[in-house]
Amino acid sequence: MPTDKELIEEIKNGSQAAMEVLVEKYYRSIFAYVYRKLGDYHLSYDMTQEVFIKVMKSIHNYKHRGSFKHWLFRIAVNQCRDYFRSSKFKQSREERELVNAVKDKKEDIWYQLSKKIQSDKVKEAILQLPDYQREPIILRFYHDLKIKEIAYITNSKEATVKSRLRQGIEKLRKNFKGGDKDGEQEKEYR
Amino acid sequence: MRLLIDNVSKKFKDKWAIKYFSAELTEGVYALLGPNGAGKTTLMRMLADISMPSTGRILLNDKDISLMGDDYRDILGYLPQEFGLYKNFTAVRFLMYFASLKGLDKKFAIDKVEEVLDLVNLTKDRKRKIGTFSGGMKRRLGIAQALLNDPKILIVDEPTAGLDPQERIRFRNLLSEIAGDRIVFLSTHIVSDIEYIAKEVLLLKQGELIQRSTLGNLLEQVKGKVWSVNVTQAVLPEIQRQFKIGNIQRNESGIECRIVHDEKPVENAVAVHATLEDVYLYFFDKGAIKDV
Amino acid sequence: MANRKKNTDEFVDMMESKEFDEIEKKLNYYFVQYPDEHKIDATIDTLRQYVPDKKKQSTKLVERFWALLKHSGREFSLISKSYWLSSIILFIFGYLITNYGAYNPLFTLVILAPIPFIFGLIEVFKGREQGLLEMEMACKFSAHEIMLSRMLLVGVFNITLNTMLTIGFLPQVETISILEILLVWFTPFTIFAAFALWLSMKFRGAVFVMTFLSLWVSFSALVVSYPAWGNFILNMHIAFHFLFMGIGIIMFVIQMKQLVKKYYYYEEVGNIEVTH
Repeated sequence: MPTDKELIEEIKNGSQAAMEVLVEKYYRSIFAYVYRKLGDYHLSYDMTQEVFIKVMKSIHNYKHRGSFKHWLFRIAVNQCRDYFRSSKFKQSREERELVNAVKDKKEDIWYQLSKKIQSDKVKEAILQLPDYQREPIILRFYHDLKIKEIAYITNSKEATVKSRLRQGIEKLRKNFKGGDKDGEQEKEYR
Repeated sequence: MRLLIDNVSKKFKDKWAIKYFSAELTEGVYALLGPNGAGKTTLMRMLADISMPSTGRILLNDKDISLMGDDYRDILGYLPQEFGLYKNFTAVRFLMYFASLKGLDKKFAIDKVEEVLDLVNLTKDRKRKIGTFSGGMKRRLGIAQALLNDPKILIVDEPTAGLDPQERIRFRNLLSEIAGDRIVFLSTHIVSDIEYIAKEVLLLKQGELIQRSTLGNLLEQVKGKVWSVNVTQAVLPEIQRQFKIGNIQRNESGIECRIVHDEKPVENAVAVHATLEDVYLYFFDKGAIKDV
Repeated sequence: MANRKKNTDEFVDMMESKEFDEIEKKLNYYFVQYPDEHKIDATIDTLRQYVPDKKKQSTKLVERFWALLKHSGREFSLISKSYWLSSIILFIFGYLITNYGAYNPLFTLVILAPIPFIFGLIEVFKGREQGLLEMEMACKFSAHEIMLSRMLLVGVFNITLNTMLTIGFLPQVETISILEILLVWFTPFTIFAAFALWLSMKFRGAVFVMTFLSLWVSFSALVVSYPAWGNFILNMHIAFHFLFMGIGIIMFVIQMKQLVKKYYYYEEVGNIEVTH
């Protein structure tokens, strides 16, 4: 397996195959980040594509300082922030919620049988976190990144990341506790 | 030919000039309509590939225009909203110079320059120095410049700014004449400019595409929402505060107001025929500009 | 996972590890529905056109350079005649004054050398000054290429003038070699040209000329009134000349690169946009 550095050099020299390998390698983790940040499948698909386009467009500027993965995440974080902050996001979120409400009823039975309800609960809890807390929480728990790395990716100080994580975790815990009644039911499904 | 604007935004520091704009354009005249400051010029610049989108891309037949470079500029004609010209050049010399910038062969350029001069009605002023031209003539020369390379994509930003009403009509005719098999994308804040010639109108408000429709369809949307009412001077301020007011005209029996409102605004209001100005007022909450 | 253990340690000061595990367990319920292979492939196909095309780029560069040379001929007529004329007159004037006044011809060379280039920059940026930049950018032969080809003309013209003046002064400075004379004016020329280019990208024509002229007058006054300073330049070891010349050339190339970058896209120039 070639290293990221080798792949990038090959891409700079025009290798399509190297691009495929690199994208295949990171596609899922970028998609997962974007999805957990924005909570919408179609939007996340487009956004992931956009992140990789941005990466390809600026690949000649990439200087191999630090890990490629972190650079990639940094671009993803920025891309999502931009979308998140534009008023467009609120609209599409509202639309999405409408669509989901309809879908929920249809697939009710399936929901009961699957673990999706738990997944959705966590999803909602994460989506309820403010932007700046959600980022470090996702990066820490789902991408196993260190505080130092998160600080680089989110372009903030380590101390800031720590306090945001702490606040985020606190909020999540309250949220999960608050839903204890549901929690009891959950156990039955398990 | 298909020009696809795919989720394009432009951010200047923390300010969004264009927000996730998407549209698909094929041959024909498109009008980008919006008040000043809506982001029209920013969008036009991105379409002319002289400005990079912050997000998204613009694709011509599935190819990103920012990667096409020369191939895109070969088929692009662009006239910015504000531009200068070399004042001590004659019209012919200026156009010959731009023909060379566009990579046109000199022999071919000689004929082409005459052709575009004729198209913009400047043939008899061809040997005059540009410094002596009126504002309208300068703009026509600017359009001539954009047409030199027979562009498949013509982008003109507020082309009628500074033209007198007669010149505007002439310009409108010119546009519909040259539209043919090109994509013409023009921006304006003057609704009458696009009457009869625009295949579709794109309404831009605060950087967002709020509607994309034919003129007929837009008129349909405000049909039955335009009212005329006679009021006295005393109640006028109140009316102005409550409703979107178009024309105000004084007559013998008081003041006649044109109101755009979903329902009948006041008791004695009568429904009247909707015009493009009403469309503008309806979507932008601001009075349309008939003439500048 | 060893990695996970290690990262967890960072949280020891933050919360009990039991609590941490609990939260983590909860969060792990969250599934992501990934796009299928087919959709990922669609993204990869979209990305294909963004992979750099090295071959195309390098042949383009060569082509571009020839186009630039060819186009310079056309730009010649764009530069005002008074510019060519006044530069020539200035140099003749300099030659005569030095001859009759018996000044050190090397000082004259140092002082006159960069002036045609400086004033030439006004011609180089004429499109920008007169509001044609946006239209030029949308042309095949784009704004930055127009500027480069004009700069090429102005540069060649300037160096020709300097060389001719050098030849004219030769009979009076027999003591040193031609190479040394050339170096004496070429070194300050490169440094000032680089500086002038930097300034003219930052400011509009009028501001630029005033700023640069005042700097230039003070520099010249220094050279003339403190012969020690002037002599320092004249008597520098040849190795230093090469060193400073090297620095000057590098600075100049950097500024040229900046210019290409800056005038490639409109947003970079917005702040000195001229309104009409």
